[in-house]
Amino acid sequence: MKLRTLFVGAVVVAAALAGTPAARGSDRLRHIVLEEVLSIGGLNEETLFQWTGVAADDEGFIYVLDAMDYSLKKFDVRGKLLKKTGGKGQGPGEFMAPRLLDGSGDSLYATDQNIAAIFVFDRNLEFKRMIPCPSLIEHLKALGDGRVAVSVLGFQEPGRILILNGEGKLLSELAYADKGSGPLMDSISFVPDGRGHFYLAYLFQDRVEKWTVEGKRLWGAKLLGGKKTGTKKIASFVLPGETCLKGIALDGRGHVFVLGGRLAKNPSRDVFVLSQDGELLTTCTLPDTSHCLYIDRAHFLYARGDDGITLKKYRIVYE
Amino acid sequence: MSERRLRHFGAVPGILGGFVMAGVLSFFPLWAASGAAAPASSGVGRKSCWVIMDIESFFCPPCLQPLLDFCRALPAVVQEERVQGILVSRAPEAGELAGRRRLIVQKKWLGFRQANDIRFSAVMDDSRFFSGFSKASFVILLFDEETQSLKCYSLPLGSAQIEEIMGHLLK
Repeated sequence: MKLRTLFVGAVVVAAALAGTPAARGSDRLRHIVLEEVLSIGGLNEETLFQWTGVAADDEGFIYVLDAMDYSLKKFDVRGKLLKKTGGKGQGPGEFMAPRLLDGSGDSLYATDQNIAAIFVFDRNLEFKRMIPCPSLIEHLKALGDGRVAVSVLGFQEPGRILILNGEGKLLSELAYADKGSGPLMDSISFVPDGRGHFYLAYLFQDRVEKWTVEGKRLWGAKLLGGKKTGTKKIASFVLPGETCLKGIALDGRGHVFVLGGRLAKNPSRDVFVLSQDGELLTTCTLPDTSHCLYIDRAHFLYARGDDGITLKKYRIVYE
Repeated sequence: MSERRLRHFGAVPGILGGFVMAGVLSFFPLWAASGAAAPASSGVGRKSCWVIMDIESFFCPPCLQPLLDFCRALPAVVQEERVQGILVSRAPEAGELAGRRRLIVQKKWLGFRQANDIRFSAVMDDSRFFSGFSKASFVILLFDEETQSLKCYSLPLGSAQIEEIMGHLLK
């Protein structure tokens, strides 16, 4: 009798727990903590000077683009520099202003701010080829199977995400932006979820969105209370001033991580964590300002330290 | 050095030129007092060209291109013997934060210098003497011992200005 009572009680408790938000997929998240597990570079080393792009592979190797010495670097899991390539120039594999980096399979995809093409390296940092792109690249993500997604900078045109194959052929296009929103107002960081969706964070608008690859907007969210960026005039152009959001990334559980920009409460440090449905679940704050967020497949989050001379790797602890 | 000559030479207003000269005379009295041609030396005050660099530029790699163009125009030996860099901060910082930022900037300068084979060294303007000097990110001060004058240029430079500076430094 006592055993039966105990069993029934356990079932009741389990049923009650199953009904709580804590047990409903990504909605269960209430709090996260970032634990620093690795720091690369820093004041006492000469490995990083102004890193701009980062990617990590499944074996834990970390790849970093450095704009100050025009290089692509490879580090092991302990942060030891294994190899460096690139250099300043316009020859094969050389950079003038390296910026974005992503990886998929054996390939690393890098961009140069002033070149309308994607540099392809292998994981041993050997330059392989260029993928031509119709315009300068604002953001880049590898999609697998040799495909890449890029958002392109059209100064007077609405923003678009282009999906290109390995030869640069346009496979599909996502026109996400409003017409006439103004120069650079369509600038985004984006991340695909691998299931036919794109998450977008607007750099100069308080706006996060989820789209299907076919071009249907599923939801939109504001994270900064609808703050609007100011403007500044450069020559005859009126351009947006400070950033609202800076970057977006997905963890393996489907949570959407958005880095707040200069207009966030803690500028360039606040991280907003959303569910796949756009619900704000929790926030956390980076110890140092960052220009981007990257999350690898093992749930490690990478961000900037010391204005770009340090790369920080954090374990995401879910509570 | 007359105010008129400073205006004539400089790319900066006359009042600013006067400020510069006053600053040079008070900041580096030994050099100013000697009046002699600047010999090849590691002493800051003996270099005949100073490159004043706003440290904020080192947080924006594309902003460094005018400096790079200038450096490319100068032969290595001229950079080593005649040029001195000065890193200045305009941000109102103090204490530990300022100290850390100083180290970060020095690190960035090191990386930039190595990657671009820049041969001149740079010192930090800890006294913040040049903080309010110019709105330009990069300013060149050229000391012309022959005419006992100071010329001031803001980057980016035109080809004629580069020729003028080269002509002076290669004398």
